[in-house]
Parts: sequence; structure tokens; C-alpha cells
Amino acid sequence: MDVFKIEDLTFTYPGRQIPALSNITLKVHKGDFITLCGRSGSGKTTLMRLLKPALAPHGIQSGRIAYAGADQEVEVGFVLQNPENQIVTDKVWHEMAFGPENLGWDSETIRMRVAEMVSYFGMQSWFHKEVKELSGGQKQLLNLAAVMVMNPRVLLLDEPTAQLDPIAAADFLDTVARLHREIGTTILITEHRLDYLLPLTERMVVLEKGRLIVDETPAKGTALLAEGRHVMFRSMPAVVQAYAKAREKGLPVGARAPLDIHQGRQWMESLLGDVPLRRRRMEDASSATKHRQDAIGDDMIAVEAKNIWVRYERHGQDVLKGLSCKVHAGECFAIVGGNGSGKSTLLKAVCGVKPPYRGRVRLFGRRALMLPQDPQSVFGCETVREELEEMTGDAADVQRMAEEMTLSALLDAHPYDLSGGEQQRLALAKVLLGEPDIVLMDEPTKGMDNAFKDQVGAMIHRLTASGRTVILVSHDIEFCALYADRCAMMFDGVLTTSGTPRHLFAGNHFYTTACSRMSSGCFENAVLPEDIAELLAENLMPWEAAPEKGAACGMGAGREEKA
Amino acid sequence: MRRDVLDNINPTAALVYFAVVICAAVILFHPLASALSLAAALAYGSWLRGARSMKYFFGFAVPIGLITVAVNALFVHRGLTVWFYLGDTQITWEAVIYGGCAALMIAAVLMWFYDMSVVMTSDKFIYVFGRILPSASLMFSMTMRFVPCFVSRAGQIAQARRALGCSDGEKVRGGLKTVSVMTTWALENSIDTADSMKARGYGRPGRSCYRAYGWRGGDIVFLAAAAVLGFLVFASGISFQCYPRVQHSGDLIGFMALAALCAAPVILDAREEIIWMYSKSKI
Repeated sequence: MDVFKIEDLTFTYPGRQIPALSNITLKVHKGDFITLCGRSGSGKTTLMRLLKPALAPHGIQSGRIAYAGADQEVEVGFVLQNPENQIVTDKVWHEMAFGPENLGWDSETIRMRVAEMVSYFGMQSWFHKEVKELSGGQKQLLNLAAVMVMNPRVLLLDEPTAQLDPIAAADFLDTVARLHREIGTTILITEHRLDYLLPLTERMVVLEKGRLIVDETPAKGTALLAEGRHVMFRSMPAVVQAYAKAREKGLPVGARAPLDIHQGRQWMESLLGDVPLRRRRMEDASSATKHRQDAIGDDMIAVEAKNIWVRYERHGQDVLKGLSCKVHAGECFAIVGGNGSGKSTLLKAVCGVKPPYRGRVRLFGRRALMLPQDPQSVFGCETVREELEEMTGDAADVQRMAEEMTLSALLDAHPYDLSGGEQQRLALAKVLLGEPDIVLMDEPTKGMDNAFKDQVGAMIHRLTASGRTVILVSHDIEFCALYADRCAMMFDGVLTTSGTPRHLFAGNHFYTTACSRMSSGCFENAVLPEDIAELLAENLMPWEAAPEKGAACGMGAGREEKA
Repeated sequence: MRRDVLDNINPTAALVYFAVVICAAVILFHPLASALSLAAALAYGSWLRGARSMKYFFGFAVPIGLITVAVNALFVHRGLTVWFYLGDTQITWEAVIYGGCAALMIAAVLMWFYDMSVVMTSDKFIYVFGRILPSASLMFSMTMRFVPCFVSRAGQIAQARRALGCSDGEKVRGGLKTVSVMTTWALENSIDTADSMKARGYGRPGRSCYRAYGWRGGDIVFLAAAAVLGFLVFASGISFQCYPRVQHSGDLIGFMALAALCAAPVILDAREEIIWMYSKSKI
């Protein structure tokens, strides 16, 4: 049975020429679990909102959306992106009762439904808490539970984990999958973090510029995108990217793309079979240069923290516990680690917002400015131009910076009307107008799609190329592995290990990139999809076509190449 | 907070109780009554919150009381018995005593309000007024949600601006800027909240109000007992006057009723504790 039958739907926002959605035809069957993907601005959110009358945007609509059911308004639940803003009341129990109250249920029914929901979601321990005491993950679970308590048949989720850390995100997606499996709720979800979600879902629908380009099972859909070398492909799970990169090299990779790490490992093993490995190790290209830098000595140090201790409340816990580190000038230093490990606090200590009560941070006369996690927290003017002028009196500087950040066309727009990526660029422009030598970034890729992450990565490369030092903290291991010169892992208020991304992530077994987890056992030091494709190619190429010194195998070969 | 009787009874009964006790302290204005009330409030506060209630008492209620005494003695010159002259100002005994009584009363009321704020959380107020003023009580709950959000966000913004190198040394302008950023932010983000409310059916006709608490036999007994004791207190004719000279009246029954009324939560909590100890000893 089809819950939604969308026929030839075209939607145009008022005052726009190009439609946000064009000629969409889609059937949503009862009990489907659909991942809706597409780059930012591809029309995902518009499509989802059109399915929920209360949230449907204004505009010109043609085509048809048919809902098979009694009351579309009640039977379709919607969870939005920001966990914080969606919560209406101050208590967990009151939030749960809010929806049922709106439907006019009596207290006895509400009590029963709430009890049921709380037990199903395992919320007993925080049922009586105030909303402000909850973690981000708990808040988003509360939003989900507060929708599910109204017993919807269809659940629409618009990037529900964009603001969560990876562990809370996985937790949330597991709960969603469980609802689908056990309750039979029809689910439509948009997400950037496809690594975790895609293997859970049954259908994958891809939108591009308002057009539906793929509607397949995840395995087939990803293979289609890989074949077409589509831009959306950058957003696919790392495992799928390794598959596609290997396919590009002409390897016999098979018709079915692996979706998760388990499948990926099986895929690699079936490919390699009993082939004796000629080369199993990726060499660290950047390690040599960095060692040289170490030898140069202290004049190349941009930031030096020595035994710093930070706490927020006089009787509170220490957040940084005797942390020491050195960051070289002109490098991108990335700090990864779990929630509450003190990553953001370290940035605050470096830029002087939260000076340590013991130990000291030396910047050697350099100026450190921080790009905030949420760019909106530094916007307070009417136009982009005013935002930039706030940082400098020089109109020429404003023009130059606007051009550099490709904001020239937007100078008279309101900062809040910019897209997420543009807002980030504007915030960075403000930072750069302050002429920093060191740029600190707090989770620069939070809630971003992969295409945008590449833009952020390019920005970081531009900064380091111009001699600036970048220190970033992130949950995004894949991003750090790709763009950082050196990575460090933070745990319990100190940096536990640091080194090149390859060194750090190849050494880790659990807290590491998907590709590193997938290839451990077969290959060493392979942390990126490219690495796996390269090593696979070298081992699977026919002997005569193999690269130079094919016969010499193993680590030795790699070393010689470097030398 | 420790286990407590008022926390577990119907919020309407608890609110009525606090209203009666606070009214009694204010209306009687008798030093003995105020002292009894204050002692009970302190005992109850330290039962609920331990040393933190003492911190509130000595850090807030006592200074306010002392200021009251001093202000009354210095600026009120009524009364027949002159104590001493401070320059040209005559300080009368009656004014000092009146100030003292007022201080006791204010301290008692402050401590009762402190106890009430511990017991009567926002959701209980919403329960009490939810049926009479449904939209106002929802607004109240939303405000309680919004204020901490707003405050923490303001901190974030001030910090982000400092880390960006804005507002160097300009505290006032920096603060104003933060307020302007906050306003934009709050308006923008309230769109999300409105969407979330609409998505969950807010605005449909026939909204109900979830009653999280019911009435139990004990609640009614408690309410009735509080009413009887309150009646005895107000009917017993306790009164106190300072000007022109100190006069007071009141009988034993009135004071005993007041003591019983004010000490009721502590006594009931102690009783629960004893029953619990006893039943624990049987396990």
C-alpha cells in the first residue's frame, strides 16, 4: 500500500525563477525506510515539508501529493534538525504531554501513552529532569519521543543528527531503525552522515537541483552514483568510496558496492583471496617534512602550552589537567576526541577567553582568533557589509575579503538569509579581518555535507599556505585524516597521542576512520579510501602491469620508493 | 532535595498550605508568632536543602533583617520611650522593637518563600493554574524553558565575540552588541519552535490539559487540618502594637495552633522518617 503517492510534483518558492522541486514522482510504501539524500539546497527539506501540511512552505505547486489515511496532520510526525529549538516546555514530562494535549486527549490516556513511550525509549532515569539538564543527544531523543507519543504512522526526520556528536548520532539512528523494525513506522529521513544510516535503510532517494535522480536500494543506488561519478558521490560512506576508487582504477570489484565496514572487509577479502601481497603498507608522505620541522627548533613553534590546568567553577572538576603541546607555525593541527574531553576548552585557553589557572600558553607575539562553532553567534548587523565593516574601518579591506570569500554578491543580504556554508565563510571573513596568525576552529564541519567539508578543507589549506596556523577540534575523524598535518587525540583533559593523521589513525583500532577499521588485518596505514584503492590496485594488477620493482614486496618496497 | 511530604501531596494542597502560613506571618505581626514561624521555616529549609538553606538565611535574610531594624530606628521617631540621641535624632525603644518585629516577620516570610521555591517547582504551578489559565500556564512553562536557553546563549555569544577580538575593552558597547545579536537570534530560532508546535498539532481546537497529579485521601486530610489550624490562629486574636507604646495580646491556643501549623511539614517528614526506620529494621 502506498502511504504517499507523489505525482509530477513541481514547487517554486515565491519570487524565484528556478523551481525548488521539479517533476518529482515518488511512491512511499507502508513500512518503508527511505534515506533522502542530496547536497544542501537540493530540495530535500522542501519535499519533506510538503508532506506535512502544517509545515508546508508557501509557493506555487503543481502536481499531486496524495496521502492514504484519515488525518494527515496527526498521522505524520516531523522531527527537525536543531534539538534545542524544537523543545517547547521546560520539563521532560511536560514536553511529552504537549502533543497529546493539543489533540485533546484526557489525562488518563496521556498518562498511559507517555508511560509506554518512556519505557520504550528507556527515558526513565531522566523523565523528571528539566530540559536544560539534558545532553544534546537526550534532547533529540526527547523530540523523537514527543512526536512518537502521538502515534504517527509516518515519521519525517530532517537532518536529525546534524547537531549531535557521532556517538549520540548513532544512538539516535539506532532508535529510529528500531521504530521501523518493531513498530512498522514508515520513515523518511534526510542525513549527511550516510556512513551509519545507509546500511540501516531499505531505499535511497537522491535529489539533485530539485530533480529525483536515484530511487534504488542503497547497494544499487551507490553503485549507480559511482558509475556516473556523480558529485553526490562524495557524500557516500567511506567504504563505498573505496569501492568506487578501486573501480575507477579498473579493478574487478564486483557489481555490488559494500555498504558498511563488515561488508567492506568481506569485499576486500574476497578480492584479495589468496594473492600473496606485494605491498601492504602506505607510507607517510608528510612525516619526513614534519621531522625536518622539528629539527628546526623553537622559532617554528606557533603555540606552546605547558602544563595548563583549566576549570570553569571554583569547586568544579578540572577540564584540562596539566596539558602540554606544541603547534608548529603554518600547520593544521587537529584535535579529535569524545564529548567533554576538553577539546573546546583548549581552544578557549589558547585564544585567551578562558586562561588557565596554572601553567601557561605562549603564542610568541602571535594573534589567535577563534571561528565559533555556530557562525550566527557573531552576527549582529543588518547586512553582510556591516558585519565586515565591524572588524575594519577600511572599505578596501572589506571588498578584498568579500572577494576572497566569494561573498561579493551577497554584501547587502542579511547574514541570517545566507546558507550554512555562506554563513561559515562570512564568519571566517570576520576572523581574517582581525588579522590573526593563528586561526582556531571549533567543529568547522558540524552539520555539513561532504561537498561543503571539502570547501572547508580548501579554506584550511589556503590559510596554512598563507603562513597561518590552524588549530581545529572536531568529532569528524575522516575530515581530520584528510586535511590535517598533524592530529592529536584528547582524553580526560590531556592529549594522549599525536602525530601525522596516518600515524595516529593507523595506530588506533576503534577510534579511527572507517577505511582504517575496514583494512586492518589486510593492510597497514591505510586510512583513506584512496589508500585502499591504491593498495588494492598494486596487489591485484597483473604481474607484468605492476609498477616498478613489483617483485620486492612488503614494507621494504614502500620505504625504497620514498628514498 | 530529601523525601518530603509537601513534595508528594497534590500541588494545590501544598500551595494553599504555603499561602496560609505566609499570610499568617504577615497578618499577625507578633514577634512570638514570627519567631515560631521563622524557626519552623528554618527547620524545614534545612531538612529540604541542608546547609544551602542556612547560606540563604545568613547571606540574604539576616542582612535584610538588620537593615530593616536600622532603617526603622533611624527614620521613625514615633514612640514614647527615648533610648538615646544620635546627634539630633532621637532613637526610641518602640521604633527599635518595631524594626525588630518587622525584621523577624520579613525573615520568616523570606524563608517560607525559599522553602516554597524548593517544593513548588514550575510544573506544579502549571498544574495548579493549568485549568484556570491554560494558555498562561503554557506561556509560563515556555518562558521557564526559554530563559536558561537565552542566558547560556548570551554567554556563548559574549565569548565568541571576545574570541573574535571584537569589543576589546568596551564593556558597555560589547554588552549592547550582545543584546542585539541575541534579539536577532531569538527571533530567528523561535521560528523553529513555532514549527515544532504546529507540527505537533498546536492550535487545533479542544486542547486538553494533562493533570499529572490526582487527589488522594491524605491530601484532603492535610488540607482540612491546615484550614482548621489556620482558622484557630486567626480567630485567637493575636495582635501586636508598638506605637505609641508596646501592647500585645494573644492566647495559648492561638500560638499552639500556629506552632502546629508551621511545624507540620517538619513533623510529618520526621514521622515518615521514623516509620521508614522502623520498617527498615524489619527488612
